[in-house]
Amino acid sequence: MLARLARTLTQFFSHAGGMFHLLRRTLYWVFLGPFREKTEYRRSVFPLMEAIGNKSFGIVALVSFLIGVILVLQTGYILEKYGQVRQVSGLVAVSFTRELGPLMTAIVLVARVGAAFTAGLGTMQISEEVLALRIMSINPVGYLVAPRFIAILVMLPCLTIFANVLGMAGGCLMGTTYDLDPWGYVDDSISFLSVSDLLSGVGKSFFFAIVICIVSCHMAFRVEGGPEGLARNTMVSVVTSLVLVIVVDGLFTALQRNLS
Amino acid sequence: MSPIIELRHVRKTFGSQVALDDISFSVDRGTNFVILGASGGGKSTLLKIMISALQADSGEVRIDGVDLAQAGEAEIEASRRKFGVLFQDGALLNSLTVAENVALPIRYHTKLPAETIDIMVKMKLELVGLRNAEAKLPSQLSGGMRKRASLARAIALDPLIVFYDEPSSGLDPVATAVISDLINDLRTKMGLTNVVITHDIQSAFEIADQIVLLHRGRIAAQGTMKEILQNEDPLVRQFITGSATGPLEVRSSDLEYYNDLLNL
Repeated sequence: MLARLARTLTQFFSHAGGMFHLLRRTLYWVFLGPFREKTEYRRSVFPLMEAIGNKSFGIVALVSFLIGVILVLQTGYILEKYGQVRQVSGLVAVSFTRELGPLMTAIVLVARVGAAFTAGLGTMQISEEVLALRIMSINPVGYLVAPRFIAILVMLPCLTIFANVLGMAGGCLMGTTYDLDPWGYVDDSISFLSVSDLLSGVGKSFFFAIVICIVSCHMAFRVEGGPEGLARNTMVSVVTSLVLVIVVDGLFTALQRNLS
Repeated sequence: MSPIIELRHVRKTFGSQVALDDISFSVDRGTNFVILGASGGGKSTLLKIMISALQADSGEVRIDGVDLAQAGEAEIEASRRKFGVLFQDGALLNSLTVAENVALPIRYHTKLPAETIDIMVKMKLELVGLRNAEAKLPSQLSGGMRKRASLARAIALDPLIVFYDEPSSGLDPVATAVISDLINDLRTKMGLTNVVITHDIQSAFEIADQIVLLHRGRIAAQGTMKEILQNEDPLVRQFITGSATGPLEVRSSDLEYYNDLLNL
């Protein structure tokens, strides 16, 4: 029992230390590396941005739109009882910009992009491609992780903004079933929103991007034991990213509440 | 002339398991040096130590005079530019074409214009007989072609040494012969020192100037090809003749088997 606990703790600290180290190295390669060492971000970042942003847009749009629809369905009838159905637009707008937009987008990207990062880089680890880079004196963090970090750091906030808009559009569509005028719905949504709502949601998404990239790349570099190890690490990467995204979200919300 | 690679009393353990013990040998410049041994004999660990992917627990590993155990990160980086590695499965980057793979180290470590890099890539691919495959992705290549493309990448920066990890594994006899010819060609044309890790006795005899035979992490025999062929040690004889019985027996003895069955 004690030995098991010791092993779990050792693993936890080993992973936590590994992720912190990877984050530090990645920040170096993103901010200082290009001025001190050879990098090829122009060649690699744009295809990655396309893979992360353009190719995730459909699923992010669908999920956000449907959640907007569901949110109005679930809350509209209660507000209608109290004659407050017009408030549903504000509820959807604030929920999406502060919470649901960034969180749902991050969850979709954990599943779609984080898993792909771990599986892709983990395969490179197994087939000795990462070792080959090191032997060629090409830093794997600079060559593989930093471009992914930049790409997801740009694309996750962009997707979050789209998710906010599409979630509100879903709500607006469903609002018509409560006889709400679409233009009135849009006006109400805008009047409910503040700049801090928008900024807090988009701000959170930067941290979610960091979590997804660092966890998935760290788990990829720790792949051992062939395909079985790759499958295990991909699963661990997705679960850890999801948990950490929600933890970061909670911390952010608590911090925001204290500040306000 | 001082040897280009020198190992002295190298030892490596993984937990309680001794992977390498008291390994000492030197490799002269411009020679083909073969490290032979059965699977699990410590060959891959030895290769990883020589290419500084692993650190030995004790002993000295010198590459062109630099002791890797004492060297800092910058010195290790510098020594890595003196060698190339042909990995067992090629380890080509699957997202890049053959030409891009070969160009990668040149782009990273030189400031040459793109046109010059293109010419250099074509020359390296011509050396390994793959000039018509430059636009192909690694997944579109056969096993032998992948190894040759990997070899072109290994020699892209004109290294002093090339390490080969099981160059003939998974290849048919013709492809194996092509790789063996290439190893000999590169030594002649580029003056390279080739260090080949293999268990394939046939290809070892086609290329080796010097041979080291590893057995359970220790050197069982060492010498020129002629000396190895004349060696009367039963272990060496078994490895050369490929006999199923002898000191290299992979099956446990009858006594061990009975004890195992009866939990003794």
